[in-house]
Amino acid sequence: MSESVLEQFSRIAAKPYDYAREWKKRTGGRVFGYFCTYFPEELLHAAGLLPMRILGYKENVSLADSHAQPFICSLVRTSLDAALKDKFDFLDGVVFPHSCDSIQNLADIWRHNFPRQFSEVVVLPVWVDIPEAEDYLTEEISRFRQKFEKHLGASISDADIAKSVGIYNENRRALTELYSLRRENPGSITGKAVLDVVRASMSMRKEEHTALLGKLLGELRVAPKTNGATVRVVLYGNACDHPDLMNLFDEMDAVIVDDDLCTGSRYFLHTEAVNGDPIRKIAQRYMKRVPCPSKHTTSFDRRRYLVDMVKESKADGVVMLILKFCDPHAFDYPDLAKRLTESNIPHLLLETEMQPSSLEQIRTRLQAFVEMLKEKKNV
Amino acid sequence: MHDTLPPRIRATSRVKEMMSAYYLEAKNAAYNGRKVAWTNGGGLVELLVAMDVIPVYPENHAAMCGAARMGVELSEVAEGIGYSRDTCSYFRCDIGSAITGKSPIMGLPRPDFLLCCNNTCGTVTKWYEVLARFFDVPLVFIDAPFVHDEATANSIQYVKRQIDRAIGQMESIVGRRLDMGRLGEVVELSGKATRAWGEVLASCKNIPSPMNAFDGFILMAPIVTLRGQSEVADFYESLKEELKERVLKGIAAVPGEKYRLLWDNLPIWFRIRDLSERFMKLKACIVASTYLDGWVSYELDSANPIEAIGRAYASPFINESIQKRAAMLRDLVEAYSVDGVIFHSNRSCRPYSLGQYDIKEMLTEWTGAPGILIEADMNDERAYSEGAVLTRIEAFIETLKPRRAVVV
Repeated sequence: MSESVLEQFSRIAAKPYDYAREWKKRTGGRVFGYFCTYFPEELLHAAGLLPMRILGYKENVSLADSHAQPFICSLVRTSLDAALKDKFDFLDGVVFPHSCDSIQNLADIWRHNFPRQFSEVVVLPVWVDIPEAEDYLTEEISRFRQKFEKHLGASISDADIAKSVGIYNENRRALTELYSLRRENPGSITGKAVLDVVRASMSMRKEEHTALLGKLLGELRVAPKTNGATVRVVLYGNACDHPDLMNLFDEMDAVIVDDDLCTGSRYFLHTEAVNGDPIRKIAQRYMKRVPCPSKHTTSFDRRRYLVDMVKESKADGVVMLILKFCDPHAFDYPDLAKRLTESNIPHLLLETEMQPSSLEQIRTRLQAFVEMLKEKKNV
Repeated sequence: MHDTLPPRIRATSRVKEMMSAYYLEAKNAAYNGRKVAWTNGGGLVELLVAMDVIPVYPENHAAMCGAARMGVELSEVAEGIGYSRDTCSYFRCDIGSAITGKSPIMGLPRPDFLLCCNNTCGTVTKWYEVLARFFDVPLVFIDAPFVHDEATANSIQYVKRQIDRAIGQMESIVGRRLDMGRLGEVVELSGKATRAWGEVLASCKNIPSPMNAFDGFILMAPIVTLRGQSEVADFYESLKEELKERVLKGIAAVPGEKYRLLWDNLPIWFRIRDLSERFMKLKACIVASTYLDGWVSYELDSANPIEAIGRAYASPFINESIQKRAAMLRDLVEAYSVDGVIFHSNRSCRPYSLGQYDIKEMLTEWTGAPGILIEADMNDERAYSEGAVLTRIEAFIETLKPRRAVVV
C-alpha cells in the first residue's frame, strides 16, 4: 500500500535528518543546516542546496554538557550535542541568523568545535521596522552571498535568486491556504498533521514540498464539513516539535484552529513580490514578516495580534508552548497573558523542552484546561 | 603568622558620596524641572548628558539591591506577576522595585523616557520593552549588530543612522535641540574618564596588586553611571594617585599575595564581602576582571562625536564573539600575570556565560593558565550553593602554581 500524503509529511517531520540523507543520496546535492526561520534560506536554495532547519535532537544531552550550561535552552543544547555526537554527518555547512543571545553564542561555539565545516552568521538586525535596518540587512545578506559564492566557487545569479524567491513564495501561499482551510473546517485535519506539514517544509526542497502539499490542499478543499461543537484552540509559542503533545488535543477532542508558532505560521506568513533587486526583496520580507519576540519593533503589538487571531478563528482559548530558557518569550509572556485574561480569553502555559520527556503532567494540565473550555462553551 | 587587613582605599568613601549625591539629584529631577531617562549599561549616555537629561541605571540599582541582599525579595515580586525565574535577575529586581518602591534607596525616580542599546545582550531589548509598557513612556532604541568577526562598515553606518534617529526622537521628547558642541565636550570627558579608569585598573599589574576586583566592583559605579560628567575623570585621576602611593608603600590589596586571579562575568553581589574575605585568606588576589574592563575599551574623541560614539558603542567586548572575548582574556592573563581564571557561570546572564567552557579551553591552550567555572548568579541567592562553590574555588587555588616569587 502506498504512503498517503499525510503519512509522507509525518515521516519526514518525524525524521527530517533521515530525509536529508536520503535526498543527498538521491540527488548528489549538498545540504546546509540553518538555525531559526530568520535565515534567508532562499540564497541556499538558489545555489541548488537543501536548506535543512536544525531543530534540536530528541536525545538527552551528554557531550554538550561540557560546552553549554544546563540553563541554556534545549534547542541549543541538543543541537550542539547531536553535532558533537556526529549525528549531523550529512551537513556540508551550517549557517546561523542572529536570532537571540544563545543562538549567537552557539554560532561561535560551533565554529570553534567544527573548524573545518563552512559556517557563517547573517547578523540580522534586531529592530525590524525601520528603513535603516532594511538597508543594513540588504547589505548584510549581500556580504553573506559573496562569502557563500566564494565557498561554492561559483556565483549565484540574481535571476536564480529571484526564481527561488518565487518558489518560496509559492510554498508560503500554499501553507497560508492550508491554514485558512483549517480555520474554516478545523475538524478536517489534525493539529499534528498541520505542524507536520510545516515542519516538513523546513526540511524539504520547496518544489517537492509544494507539489505534495498541493495534493493535500486538493483533498481538504472538498473535505466534508465537520460539526463545530468541539473546543477550538489557538497555539502560541516558539519551536514546537512534539507530535505526541499534538496528539493529546485529538485525544481530548479539541481542535487547533490557528497558531502563532515559530514552527507554524510565523515561518511562512507574508510574501514579498519579486520585482527589483532580489536581495532587497528578501530583506524586506524578513523585515515585514510576523516578528519573533527576539525582534524589536515600534509598531507591532503582539498582544493585539494574538487577541485578533483568537477572535478571527473563533477560538475558545490559547495554549502557549514555550521552550524553557527562551528569554524573548519569557519576557513577553506576562503582558501577553494579562491581555488575554483582560480579553476574557482562557490561556494555559506549557513549558517544553526538545528532548523527550514524560507527557503525564502536560496531559493532566491540558485535560483540565480543555474541560474548563468545554464547560465554558456549553454554558 | 597574623593576617592584618590592608588599609582601605580612601576613594571608596568618595564613591559613596558621589553616588548619594547623584541619586538625590535624580530623585529631585521632577522638582527641579529636569527629565530622567532610564538607560542600560551599554546605553549611549553621552547623548543624555549632553541634553541635560539625568541618566538612571536600573542595572546599577539592581546591583545595589543585590549587594543589600534584597535580590530574592524583589525577584519574587516579579515572579509573582509571571516573570520566569529563568529571566535576568537584574531585570526581576528592577521590576520588583518599580512595583513596590523598595530598594536601598527606596526605588528609582520614574522615567520620562527610556534609552536602550542592545550592545550588551538581547535581554535589555526585552527588558526595556517591558519598561516602556509598564511606565507608558517612549523607548529610544539603538540596535548594535553583534560582531562575530570585525565590525563591518555597514554595521557601523547602521548604528550611526540610528543615533541620528535617536537624537531626533529625544529632541522631541525633551523639547530642546542637541548642541553638537556640548556633545563633543561630553564625549571628550567620557573618553578622559574611561582612559583614567583604564589606568586605575592597570595599576593592578603591579605585584603585589594595590587593588583587587572586589574594590573595583565598588569603585566602578561612577564610570558606569556618571561618565561624561567632569568630576568622574578627576575622581579616577585621584584614585590613580592613591594607588600609586599604595604601590610605593608596598600596600597590597591582599597581604602576602600568592595567587593572582582573573574573574570573568559579573560579581556575585550578595556575597561580595564574604568572597572578598575568603580570597584574602587564601592569599589570592583577583587582579583583573572582564567586567571591570568593559568600561575601558571606549575610544572616544570629540572631533566627530557621533562617529566616536557610533564606533565605541557598536562593539563593546560583550557584543563580540567568544573568540574575541577569549583573546581579551588572554591579553589580561598576560598583562596582569594571572595564574588562574575563575569563570562565574551566571545563571541569569546567558550571553556572558554561554561559551565560557570553550573560552576556558582556548585560554588554557594559549596561555597555560587553568580555569574553573563556578555556578552562581549575580543577584539571585537561590541559584547559589555556597558550600559547593567555595570548595571548588579552594580546590582550584590549591592546584595553582604561582608564576613568580612570592612577595611577603
